[in-house]
Amino acid sequence: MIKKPRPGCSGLRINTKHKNMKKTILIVNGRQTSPSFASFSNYIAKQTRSRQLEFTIREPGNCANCDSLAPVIGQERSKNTHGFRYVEDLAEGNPADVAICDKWADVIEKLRQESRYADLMIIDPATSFKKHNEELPTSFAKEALRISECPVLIAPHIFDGIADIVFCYDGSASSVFAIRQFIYLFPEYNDKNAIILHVAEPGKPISEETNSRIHNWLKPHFASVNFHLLEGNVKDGLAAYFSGKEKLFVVMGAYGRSLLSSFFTKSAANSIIRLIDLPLFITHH
Amino acid sequence: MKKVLLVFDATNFSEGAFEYARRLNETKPILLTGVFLPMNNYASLWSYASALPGVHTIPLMEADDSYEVYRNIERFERLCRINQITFRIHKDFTDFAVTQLARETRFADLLVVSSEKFYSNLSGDSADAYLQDALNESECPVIVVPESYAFPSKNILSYDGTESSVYAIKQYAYLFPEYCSNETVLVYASVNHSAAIPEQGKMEELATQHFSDLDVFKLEFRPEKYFSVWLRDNQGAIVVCGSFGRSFTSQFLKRSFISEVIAEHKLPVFIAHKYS
Repeated sequence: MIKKPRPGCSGLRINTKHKNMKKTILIVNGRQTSPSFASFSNYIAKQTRSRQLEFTIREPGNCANCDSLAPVIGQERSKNTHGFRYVEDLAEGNPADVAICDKWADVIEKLRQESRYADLMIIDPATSFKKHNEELPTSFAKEALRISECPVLIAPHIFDGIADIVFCYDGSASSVFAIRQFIYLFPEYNDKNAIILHVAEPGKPISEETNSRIHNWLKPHFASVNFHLLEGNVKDGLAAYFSGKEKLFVVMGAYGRSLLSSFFTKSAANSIIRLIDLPLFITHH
Repeated sequence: MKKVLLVFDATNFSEGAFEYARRLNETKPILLTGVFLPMNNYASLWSYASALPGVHTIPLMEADDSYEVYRNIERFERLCRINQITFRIHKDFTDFAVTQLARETRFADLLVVSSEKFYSNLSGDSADAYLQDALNESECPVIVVPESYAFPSKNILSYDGTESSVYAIKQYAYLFPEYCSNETVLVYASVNHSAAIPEQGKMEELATQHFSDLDVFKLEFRPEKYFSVWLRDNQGAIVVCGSFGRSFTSQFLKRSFISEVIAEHKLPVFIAHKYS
């Protein structure tokens, strides 16, 4: 409804029924879709009460799902009400939207722009547009992490729910910033246990003062707060700590980007193995 | 439960800042930490005391102004107890620097500081510099409050299309979901009067997920004149801006945006910027 203009103003009034909802971007590769990724994204959208935007990237003439996506070809942003639907519409009349990007040169800039106006971006680390197999995370996933202006959630291949939240803390402002953003975006996890995994350089353990500050800050947000010190080589230590663990949600600051590749390895048969198959929440300033 | 820092210099107690925290606590209980900074003795050893049972008491300050500080702390404690606010006290003995305040803000959700009382014993420029430093170095969002104001029942989101302005709006929505159903105005102003609101569709889509009663306004004609006029119609609001509103206003407002909003319109300002 247009409001009566005030002097020097033009305006628009929007009343919605939405209350404290979020907006997530789901990066969809037009030529390779993954049911487990869709399922995880739907879970997160329901947890965060999000409106989802499917940011679908496709190269003309090279898209396995072109037929199913055909009804929305050429529309910059549209309600995905025809045929193919990658994610479910949520309750409360909040349908998933679709943004199609089929100009490769524009993809990164458009994604950056979309991330500015979103609360969370969800990506499959295997998202690739190359003809050959790539190591994980793919070059595209790394680039999406680099340019995103909102936190990025790296989807696991197999998702089995969340029991504890692990905050990787290295003493930096960035790692605390990541914790803060996670708390705000996922307030529904306040009944979970928080584990502060302190990634410390040898001989530099967490100080009692810092320990106390973190504990006092996080205690009201979670059922319990516990510390775990990880000394020595960070990559090896993280891989060892997370090995075989399930139902964890991992939160990392800026250094998460550089560590990400250590969460994956190649098998003897040259296939990619996920050493850590857990949801990874990564954000940076 | 949010952890809110109230920062006071040694000898000034801000009623405005405390009142803001009290009202926050009324809406949703907070953990209020009083940070008492010294006046002359710039030190870095923080003492720590808790009002919770079983935790140690507050050591005394040795500086000349210790009596004033002690009285302020006592007053803070008394007011917290009367208003049933869970509180803690941090005070500094030696080399205070803004970096120490930054350390406090790293592990907090919000910093509340008075625009009028913070180091008001110093001359105008020095006091402004302290406040500016505190804003620059804070790793959590900050609310700057005047001493006399109406507690906000309305949100004004200043938007200029930059990452910084969108970031601040998101942080406000995350921190205060309980105020997102208040009347909210997203306001855009540009020196280029004919310019369209940048990415208006996307911004509206994001804002309407968080704010249920949203007005979108573009200030036209002469924003430098009408912004002030328009703000006069918005008493009882809080102004949300990123990077101290520099990009929002520097093009057409000669004076500091925050100074004007706070000093002339008596409105609290919420500031969030990405710390680097």
